[in-house]
Amino acid sequence: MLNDDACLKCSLCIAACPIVRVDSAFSGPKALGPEWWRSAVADDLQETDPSVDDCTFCQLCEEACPAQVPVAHLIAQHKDRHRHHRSKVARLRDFALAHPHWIGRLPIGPDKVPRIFAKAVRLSGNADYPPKSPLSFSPRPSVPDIGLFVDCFNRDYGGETVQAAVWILHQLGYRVQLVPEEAHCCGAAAYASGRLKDAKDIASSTYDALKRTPVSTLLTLNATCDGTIRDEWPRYLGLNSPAAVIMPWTDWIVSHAPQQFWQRLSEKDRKVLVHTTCRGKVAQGEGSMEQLVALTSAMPVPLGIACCGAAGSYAFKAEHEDAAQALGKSAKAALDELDLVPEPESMLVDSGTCALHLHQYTDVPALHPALWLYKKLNPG
Amino acid sequence: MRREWVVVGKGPSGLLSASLLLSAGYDVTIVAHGQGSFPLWSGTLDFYSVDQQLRPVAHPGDHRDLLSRYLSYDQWLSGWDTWRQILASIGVETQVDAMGANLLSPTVTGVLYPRYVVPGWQYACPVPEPVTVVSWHGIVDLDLESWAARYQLSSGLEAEIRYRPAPPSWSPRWTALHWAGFFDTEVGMAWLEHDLDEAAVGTNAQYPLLLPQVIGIRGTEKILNRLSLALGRTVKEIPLVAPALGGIRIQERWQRFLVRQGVRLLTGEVILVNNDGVKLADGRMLAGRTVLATGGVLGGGLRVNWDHTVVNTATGEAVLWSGNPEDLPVLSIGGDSSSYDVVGRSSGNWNGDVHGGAGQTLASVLKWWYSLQQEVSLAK
Ligand SMILES: Cc1cc2nc3c(=O)[nH]c(=O)nc-3n(C[C@H](O)[C@H](O)[C@H](O)COP(=O)(O)OP(=O)(O)OC[C@H]3O[C@@H](n4cnc5c(N)ncnc54)[C@H](O)[C@@H]3O)c2cc1C
Ligand code: SF4
Ligand code: SF4
Repeated sequence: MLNDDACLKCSLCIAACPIVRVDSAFSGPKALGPEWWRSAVADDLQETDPSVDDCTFCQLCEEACPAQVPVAHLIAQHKDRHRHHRSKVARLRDFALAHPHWIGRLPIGPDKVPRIFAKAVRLSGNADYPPKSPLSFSPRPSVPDIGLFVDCFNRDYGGETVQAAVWILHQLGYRVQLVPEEAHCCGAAAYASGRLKDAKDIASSTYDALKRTPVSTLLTLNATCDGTIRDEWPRYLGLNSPAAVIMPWTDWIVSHAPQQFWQRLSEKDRKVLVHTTCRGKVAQGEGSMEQLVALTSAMPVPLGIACCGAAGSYAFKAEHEDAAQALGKSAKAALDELDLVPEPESMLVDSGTCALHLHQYTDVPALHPALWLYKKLNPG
Repeated sequence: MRREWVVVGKGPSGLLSASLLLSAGYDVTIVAHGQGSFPLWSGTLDFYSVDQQLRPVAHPGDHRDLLSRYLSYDQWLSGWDTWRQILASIGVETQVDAMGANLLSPTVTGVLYPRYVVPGWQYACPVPEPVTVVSWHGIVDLDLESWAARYQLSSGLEAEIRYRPAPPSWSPRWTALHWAGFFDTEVGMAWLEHDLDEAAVGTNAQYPLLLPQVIGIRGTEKILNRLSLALGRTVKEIPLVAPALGGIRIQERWQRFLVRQGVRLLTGEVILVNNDGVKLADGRMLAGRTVLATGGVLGGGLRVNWDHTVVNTATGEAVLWSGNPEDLPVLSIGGDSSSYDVVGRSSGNWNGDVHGGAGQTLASVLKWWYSLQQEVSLAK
């Protein structure tokens, strides 16, 4: 890639990395990314650093870099090289977690997996796992205005969220098609764990599936899928953009819902916590969920942390228990620091796994902005 | 005058411009595609603190001729005050009456240097005094012997030094961020308190006790206060090289503050600026009057590619360059264009390294701000 070798050694990436702060064994993005790349790829040395697996692939390091070094993607290559040094069990578990859309097809949810089995396959004993909440409907307009991307998580555990997102788009007069039609994944989970070939295969098959029901506007519910499809597919996975416009559902609603829509809501005096995920900060930035909350007259309160520690299936892996817990506790500390009175009734976050994790550590119910808005428009 | 502003860049000059606009009630969006230079900066601003013979200047007013090239003396007076107020609003207390008496604070190498505004965590004194410095093996960026020698040379007074063993979880990969993350935990804090108890034995209890700038990220002030109470003497930090915790703390608190105040903090690369606003590489358009705070060489405004081509990151235009670092062109994207304003390192002919210090960032933003206010009052 163009800027693989452009590192200036300024260390801005280290300053941005949430894991460096909580994991004393983690070598940090500069060492694991550009420095490793120079020795391993440019100079053909085979050494890998075992701490590379502690990286969450949040990409905050890469976002920070002034030289546009693809820091996190170099680290993903490093993980890929290191994979072969890991235990069979860990590799098998990672292979399964890299295919979340397969796990979703199992008859029981991850929350119902017996602990003893979970322990045997090195799943974390600390993490909260999602209960099943599959999609129970699928609108099929003849000419859709909007395709709503149903990601691997929401298809099996976020049925309510998808339904809410569609209901609101319907209220605004749009014809919505859920895409792709069958269970697929953007490839982010595989990429994050350094399974680059799997990521490519998974993304390609999703691309093909999206092409079967083409849409010009593709709205996403989760910022990770958003950034992966829009930015990483063309740049790292050799795929074309599957739609002319790809943007988060929240941004679309904020910029397209008319005044009258918001006038139906009056949430004055309420404080609503907001957490833009690490990948959301990288893909689009912060502020649209805050805008959505403000449009209802409620007061948005950003939680003010970089990453909650869930990072997709990162927190589900036993070896990441400590780091995930430390970041979860930092989220709680950030909430306490805010000293909110009255206590906030909910926290908006667009990722299902982050919502679980944040709820576990802060005790504040966390949900997708679409579901929150739906509940406000349909009280009781 | 338009209400919407787009600030490009989130380095010191970008956040400063955003804060000033916010305080006057404008609607502000910040967009940047990389971290600003905060982590390269320990947190103090100096500006012509030494005269042409490199002798410290006791009072900033002694330099009226140099200072007035940038702002009038009165503007400087209120400017430093504005800077202090902004720092206070984001939760960083400062120690000095800016233009009254210049405080002295040591540089990374131990030279006592006059400063206008110093954050509360950093050691500063009105007149030189003897000090005790404690550091740990493993903090490679601080060579205590040479630090003490320079301190003695510049102050004429003693610097007692104590080297201590690193904590048990230390590894050679630790950066300042690892240290700071460690001290932010309960375990780290307990270790620190115990270690300093031992380190202080045999040192002069009248002297302030100074530590390298790694004492936490979020909890710094709390930790330093607790240590001061426990040891019965002033405990403060001295700056280190990048990644510098002083700048990182300011950056994080400032960004959190701005997002809480409703500023959108977007991620994206600006490729076009015109009278309507800016266009990002991903296709998003942001409407508003634009101020470019895009930094300088290495800081973002010019991108040096791996093949040594240089690109103006704000306009995407290739910049001609001989390849000789000495010949790097001075960035002056402001020109006579009416469609955008330029502040900070990116404004032509501003270079902190040769023009009196980092205070030029403040000066250039204030200069822009004062002229904007004039424009507003003329329009009325
Ligand atoms: C490795 C390194 C070392 C440095 N060392 C020194 C030093 O020793 N002394 C010194 O005085 N200065 C140093 N600098 C320069 C430092 O950046 C400036 O002195 C000063 O702090 C500039 O502040 P600023 O806010 O003007 O710009 P910066 O802090 O550089 O911020 C620029 C911002 O603009 C953004 N940006 C740029 N182009 C675009 C675009 N097209 N679209 C969107 N966003 C864009 C960047 O991502 C960044 O957020 C260093 C910089 C680097 C990278
Ligand atoms: S931020 Fe970029 S240039 Fe700076 S050390 Fe990290 S990879 Fe290198
Ligand atoms: S991707 Fe995230 S966790 Fe991994 S090194 Fe970069 S900042 Fe750290």
